[in-house]
Amino acid sequence: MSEHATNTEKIDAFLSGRMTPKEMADFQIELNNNAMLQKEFAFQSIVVSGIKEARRLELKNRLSQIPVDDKVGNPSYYKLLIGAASAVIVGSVVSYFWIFNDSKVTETQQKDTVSVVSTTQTGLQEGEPSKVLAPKENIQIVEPSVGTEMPEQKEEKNQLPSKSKKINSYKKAQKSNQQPTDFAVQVPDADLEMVNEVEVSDINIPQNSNNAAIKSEGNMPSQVNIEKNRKYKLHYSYYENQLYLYGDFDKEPYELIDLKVTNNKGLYMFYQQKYYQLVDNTRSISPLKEVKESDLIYKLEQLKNQ
Amino acid sequence: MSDEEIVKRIKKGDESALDYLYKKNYRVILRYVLSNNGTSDEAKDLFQDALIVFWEKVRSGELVLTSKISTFVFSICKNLWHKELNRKNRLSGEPEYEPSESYNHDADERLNIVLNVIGKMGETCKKVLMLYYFDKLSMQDIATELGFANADTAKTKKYKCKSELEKLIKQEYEYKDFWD
Repeated sequence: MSEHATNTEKIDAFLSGRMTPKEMADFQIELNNNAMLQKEFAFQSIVVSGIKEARRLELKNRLSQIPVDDKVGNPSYYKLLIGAASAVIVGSVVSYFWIFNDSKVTETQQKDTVSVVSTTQTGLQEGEPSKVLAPKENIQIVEPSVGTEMPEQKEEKNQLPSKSKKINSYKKAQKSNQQPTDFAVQVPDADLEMVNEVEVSDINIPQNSNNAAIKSEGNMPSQVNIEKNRKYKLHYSYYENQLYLYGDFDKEPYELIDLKVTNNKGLYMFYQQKYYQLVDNTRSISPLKEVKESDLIYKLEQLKNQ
Repeated sequence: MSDEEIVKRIKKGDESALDYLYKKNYRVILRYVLSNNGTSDEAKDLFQDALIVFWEKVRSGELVLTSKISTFVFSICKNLWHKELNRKNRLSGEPEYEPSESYNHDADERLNIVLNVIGKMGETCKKVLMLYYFDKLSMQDIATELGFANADTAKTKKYKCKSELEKLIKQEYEYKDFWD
């Protein structure tokens, strides 16, 4: 092997990080003493840097095209939330004890449900992502309404079902008509949990598929397989709930849409700004058929943009 | 998608795993950067760079994950952001200095030439070279990923593509007449 070829190999191994530490040290010594090697090394460094940078830019460009939400809640909003939540908790506890200790019994009892969702938040520290403590289940206070004076209580949204314990209290009956008041206090089963305030994308990526986003009204393939094949560019087969896509589908995102409109029912794909129909029970590798009807394209657009 | 699934997909070269991580964790990084003297554009840049570092480490087999991916990537972001803040502080504290224009210009110009030539190469050649130098895959893995017959075929292809790239770059350099 010529000296040039040997040098090229050594330089290549060095720049691609494929040398052992001893080999690297030996190469450094040789480099310091060989002007020709230094010149070739300088050139190869630029070439390899360029290749790495090109790949880095490719990945960066891909990520840049993904839309993300830049809105972050105003930090003071969390302080307001803490204040409001604290006020609600204190108010609920006071009301509970007030009702518990000062109840008027009536013959008929109607129960109103008040649910309180308690949230607390850890103090935000600089540099730390914020965390929200959220109860698994709601605290519900059930109390009689007829014939008793109760403070106003607000009904919160997002009431979750939970197990209930009945706590019976038998206070002094005020008069003969009074009956003991039953209170049902529903308490959460589990301790408060730390929940990372991170929104998780709900895009459902099927197994073995690349770049897929799925909008579905119903049946979708259970598996999407990308088959790289030089012979086929935009082809597919679809049978037994398995979709096979032939072509460079890993380079750009595609979207599967299951349309349930009677006349045009079926599975479609949005790829490279066009819609294609995917016909079930297509066992042979077939070219993708572009959708051209404007009505159908309009329906698919609506579903895609939901 | 579990962490194991994400790592598995990245090892296979599935870039949609990066997309998933980006969408899932962006807001945490955004909040961190905004609360540390940064902007949303800087947050995007930072997080993209961090994910690319993560991708490199997984692909090259260097990564030994002992925590959740989100924790690991967040620590990369913190390190990168600290460096960026230090750099900004250094620049703001130092007197104005203009580095040698010829030096910067030459280095940038050479890199741009290389990027330009790479952009004109065929897809297979680009992929072979990128997988070899950036993802640091073995010839066997490159052969598997690109559908070559075997590792020797991949090696030959890589050699030819690199030689072609060097030839084109040297032509450009001669044309620009700044290569000594």
